Amino acid sequence: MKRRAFAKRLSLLTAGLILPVGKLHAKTYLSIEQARQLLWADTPMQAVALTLTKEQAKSIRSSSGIRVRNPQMKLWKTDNNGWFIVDQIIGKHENIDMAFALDGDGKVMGMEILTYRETYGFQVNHPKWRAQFHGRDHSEHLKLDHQIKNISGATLSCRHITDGINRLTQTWDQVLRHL
Amino acid sequence: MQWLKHWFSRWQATELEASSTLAPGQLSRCQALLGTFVEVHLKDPEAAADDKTLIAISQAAYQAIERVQTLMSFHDPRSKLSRINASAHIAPLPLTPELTDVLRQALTLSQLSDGHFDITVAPQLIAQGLLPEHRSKAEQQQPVRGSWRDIELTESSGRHWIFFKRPLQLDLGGIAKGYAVDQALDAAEAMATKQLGADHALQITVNAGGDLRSNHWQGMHVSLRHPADPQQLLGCVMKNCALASSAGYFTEAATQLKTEKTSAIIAPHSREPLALQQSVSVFADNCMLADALTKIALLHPQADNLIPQLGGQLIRIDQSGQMTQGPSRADSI
Repeated sequence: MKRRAFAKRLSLLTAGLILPVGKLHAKTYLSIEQARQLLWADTPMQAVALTLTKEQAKSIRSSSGIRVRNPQMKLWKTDNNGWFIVDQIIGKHENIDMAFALDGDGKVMGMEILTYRETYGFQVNHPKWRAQFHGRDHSEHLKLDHQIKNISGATLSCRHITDGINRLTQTWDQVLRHL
Repeated sequence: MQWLKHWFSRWQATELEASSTLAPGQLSRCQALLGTFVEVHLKDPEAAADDKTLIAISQAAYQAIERVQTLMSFHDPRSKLSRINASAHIAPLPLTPELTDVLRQALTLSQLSDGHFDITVAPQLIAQGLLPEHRSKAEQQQPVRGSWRDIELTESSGRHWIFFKRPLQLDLGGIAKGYAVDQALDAAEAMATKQLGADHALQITVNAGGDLRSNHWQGMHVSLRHPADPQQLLGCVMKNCALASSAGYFTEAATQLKTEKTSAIIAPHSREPLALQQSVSVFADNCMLADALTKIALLHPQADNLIPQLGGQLIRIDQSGQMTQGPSRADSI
């Protein structure tokens, strides 16, 4: 465990040196406790320690099409067999911490965004990515990068949230319902 | 480089914050709605409102937004708008009060802007892959050539009706988000009055991806994005209760289609996508108006004179981050 923590710290440090990480805009909304209150009110629940095995993660990936980034789940089981899950969704330009409520049949009853972080840093410092703003002469770059986005926020894609929900409902179907 | 980024974000992914940063009497929520992230911020200066009350107030705001979404979504084939698009050219269809509000405002602005604001450009957005196609193969063969002039709004037996003089595809994307913000703020204020009493001054702000309205906007600071560098934020003081921003950037869907020229903003007269490297922000008395005026600001050649006459105050930010503030309505009169 110590070796893992060391490796993590070392890799973070190296990554920090190699990659030009920009400022991150982070926004915090609800705390986990507030989200729990909002989604489950006073329904009693117990924390469940669960780390998905490699096989489980692989099987969830193949059925949902979404990679399991963190096998260590943060979850609570309610007295009426529902679930309260805190998880992270990783989009193209953002990391989103979310809380989900699943009922006894694995149906999503509600979700709340807890923290939203933009991770533009890498691309913005990349000259090719910047080139998208310099008119049609750089149209090859537009085709190459596949990174272009309506920054003003008018049409931010919520597809990654849908992906995250698919991954979690598959996790429920394959693992949680048997617990 | 891509693998390194993925590898790095994998490490980042493990940090989950557990502590609450909010003081008592405050609540901030964020939901994915209207194709963007919608924030509701509530702040009770007296810190008297408890979490349950604040949750109920925020819930009222989100329900209002969901209602607008179910009525006016182009993406949802079962929405009221999709049903209008499918058959309003065959026979007149009755409208809900919300759709009447939005369509009236849209047509007024089309008239006043000489057609530079037009809600009938959806076929061009479908062609670019920015909106889904709901029509049958046979219907797609018939070209849609109508404009806002082919929309007829009538009133009879106490109801409002819509009729298309020829087949049209309406998209309310340029105005409905602002309207949803207005509705959310109204609903939250009504719920706050019910829960806390009429003289309790709860501060409410609704922000749907840059379309923002607040009931305590005086002296409030907002950040506008640099059009060429999304990380750079330019500060600005609110000049009215509602603010909306738009930009004619290239969009993500464009790269998937491998077309060169695409943008979510279509110039109604030429029906060509606009790829203008600048952003515009408009302050107005309500968010629906601010939202619609941003499109006129990008498309109308005399926008700088027209926007104040229509009740907005315009801010342009060019590619170098230079901010130009236009006159307010009071200045122009």
